Amino acid sequence: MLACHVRNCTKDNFPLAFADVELVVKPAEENLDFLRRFLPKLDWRALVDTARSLGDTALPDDMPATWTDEQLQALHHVLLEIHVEEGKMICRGCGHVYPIQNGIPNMLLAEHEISR
Amino acid sequence: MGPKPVPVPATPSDDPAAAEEKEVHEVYEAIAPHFARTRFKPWPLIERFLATLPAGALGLDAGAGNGKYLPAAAAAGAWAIALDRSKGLLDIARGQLANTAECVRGDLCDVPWRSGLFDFAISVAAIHHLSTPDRRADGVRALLRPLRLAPGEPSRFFIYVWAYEQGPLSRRKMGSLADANAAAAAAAAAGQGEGGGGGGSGGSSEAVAPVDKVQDVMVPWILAPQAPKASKPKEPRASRKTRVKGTRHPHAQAQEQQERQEAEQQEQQPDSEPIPATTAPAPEPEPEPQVFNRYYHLFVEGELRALVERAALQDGFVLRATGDDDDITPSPQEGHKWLRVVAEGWEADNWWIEGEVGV
Repeated sequence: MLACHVRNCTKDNFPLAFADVELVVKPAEENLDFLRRFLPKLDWRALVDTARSLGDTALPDDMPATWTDEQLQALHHVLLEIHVEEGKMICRGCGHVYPIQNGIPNMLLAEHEISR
Repeated sequence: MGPKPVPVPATPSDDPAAAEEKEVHEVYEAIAPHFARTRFKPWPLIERFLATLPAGALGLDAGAGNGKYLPAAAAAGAWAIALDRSKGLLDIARGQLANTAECVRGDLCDVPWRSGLFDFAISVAAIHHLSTPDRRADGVRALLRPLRLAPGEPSRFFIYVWAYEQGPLSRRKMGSLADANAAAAAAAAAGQGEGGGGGGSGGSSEAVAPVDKVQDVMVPWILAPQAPKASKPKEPRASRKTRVKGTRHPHAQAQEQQERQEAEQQEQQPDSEPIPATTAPAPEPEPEPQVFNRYYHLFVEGELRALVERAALQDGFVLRATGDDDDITPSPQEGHKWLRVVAEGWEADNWWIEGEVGV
């Protein structure tokens, strides 16, 4: 969901690549309404690659046209249950590093990096 | 008795970002735990807005503070992500939703999101901390930009800011109330004897016009030490000793409860906490109340809407009239993004606006 927003960074600024992560899995209630709404917004390739980089390989290469319960469960798990507690996100375009502490990504930029 | 801290006019800065760092961000870091305890009751209008969201909607709460609206969104089956600049407040916000709240640290004026991500966005009592018209427009644009633009179902937004026009029940002693008092004082000094003290209901203070409206103010936040009222500076030593070190961060529930009530009081009367601003240096250092001043821009009637419309035009939105319904009027131009103000108003010393965007 997050993208690099450094000034003039417009290429490869999404998805950010995770590094040095500490993961926590927190069970979450299934929310089909949310998934249904979120699906059209998904960049499937980005999601699959990101999930795999975190060690979760349950998502298929291509977004299913019709979803099995198992696939929905896998998507739910990736989107809502895997939490990155510590680590960083790195922009593949400009190399900017966004740290994650206590589960909170820090997207603050230095004044000269801000684009408005 | 020392003077009670009251809101005072803010001085403009050459470097608004740096000024906000000092006069907003650093203050919130410093007062985060205390502030968070005063912010647990969602404002009804926001709650109502959240309750009307479609199930499964994803939204942004920009300037979310301690994340008190996240549960209200969840109750509607929606899901909001908290954005704030204060790490201290976000650490608290993260405890919402049984520790599964999604929080992102960032600036109100930045857009670290993929476009088209959110179905709704709210910003409650945050935009007024931006200290120039341009920055406030940046803040609104940053709120609108990640909203999903799609034909059919518009994305929705809600913004709440402090009003210049303070109602008769306001304890804030600022804006129209302060200026009315100043006007009354000036009038009295000039021997005219006109101009009543209290100010009227929202927006009705025009009667006492001669004083310029002070819209940029520094509002004190008093970070009270744990021991309540009894702490007059001249109290005898013995009672001073009863204060135990380390009680400033109590975890006992009873104390927590008491703190909450005090904090709530503070919210209602930010200028009249029973804390003397002592000057006499005590031989033993005791917990002194600390006063932090936060910058606020107080919005006058019509200003919030003008700001939203300006931000929308800057970003290429076409403005549609309130009540301009799809069924009656065709969309502005095919494929052109539009913004419409759905409703706006003044409530309990704040201005609010609700709108939607689409294409």
